Amino acid sequence: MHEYSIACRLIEAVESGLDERGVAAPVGRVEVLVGELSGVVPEALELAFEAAKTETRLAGAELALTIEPLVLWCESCRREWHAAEPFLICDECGGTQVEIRSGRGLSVTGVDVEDEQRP
Amino acid sequence: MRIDLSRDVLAGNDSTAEANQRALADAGVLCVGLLSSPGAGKTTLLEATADAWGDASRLAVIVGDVATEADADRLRDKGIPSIQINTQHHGATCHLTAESVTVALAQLDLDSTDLLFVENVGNLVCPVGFRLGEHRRVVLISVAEGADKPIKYPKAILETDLALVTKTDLAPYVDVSLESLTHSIRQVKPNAEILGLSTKTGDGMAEWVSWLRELKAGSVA
Repeated sequence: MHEYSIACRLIEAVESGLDERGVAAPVGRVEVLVGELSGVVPEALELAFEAAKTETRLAGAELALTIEPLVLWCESCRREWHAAEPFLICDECGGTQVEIRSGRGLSVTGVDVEDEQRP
Repeated sequence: MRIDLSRDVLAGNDSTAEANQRALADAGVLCVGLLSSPGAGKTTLLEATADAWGDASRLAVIVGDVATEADADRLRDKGIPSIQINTQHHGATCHLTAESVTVALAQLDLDSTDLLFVENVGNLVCPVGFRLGEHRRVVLISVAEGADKPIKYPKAILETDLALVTKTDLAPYVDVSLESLTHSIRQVKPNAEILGLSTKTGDGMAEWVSWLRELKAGSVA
């Protein structure tokens, strides 16, 4: 259950991003991209976030999760597909020149903050 | 008001890991990370590696466990300078973080170290996403765990550079062989580099030590 440490880092990422922009207002919503191969269980992250956010300026925030699909690419077929498992073998030609195109991501994409004039 | 924030959640850990890796490379230390489930034989492998390496004092280990100094004590008995990290005191019990490794590095004499191992908490899931500054990562899978573990924990195969199949001496008793585990590993990563070994019989130890020596002789660190 590493989602708790992920949730703490997510909060740090939002806080430092807002600090750099000089935004001090409380956060209402955090948009997070969670890759199918990120190793993070969305429900566990939501639960961990609830515990981790208290006494931070994200205390009133909710997570809005978007799942980034696991997409593999076969160099031989020049084809990409949404894979159920991250097995680097083409499910059509059996080729092994396969790479992961997306699905590893775990990032904050945006936040909603309460309206307040920005310095 | 919506604010665009494009931030990798693990960016903070990753940048600390990169700083660790640079500090190690500058000191001429090769750093190899070990991942596995509990009981796959990480510490036993390091004890055997100390015997095979020649001068154990030129090795070092940072070892993570939830509790106890047991592993560091075993490794110190072999003459390897070792730092134990108890993750229960670091906010994340199931894996090491780059920051905890930075703290441990400060307690080691890197100038008299050739090769540093970072032995992670036994777990095939949580440690995988947290880079620590290793130059190479090795996953250990013992035959006793069953041949299906690589396909059940594929990210541990995808995000490591070498798969070590351990306890091969037990193969006849558990109906799992180096071959069946190799097949399962290659279902995930067809080009995976794989070695089998048994610290009990010594089979495969020479190949493992050569793998380390070649890495050390190369340009990694």
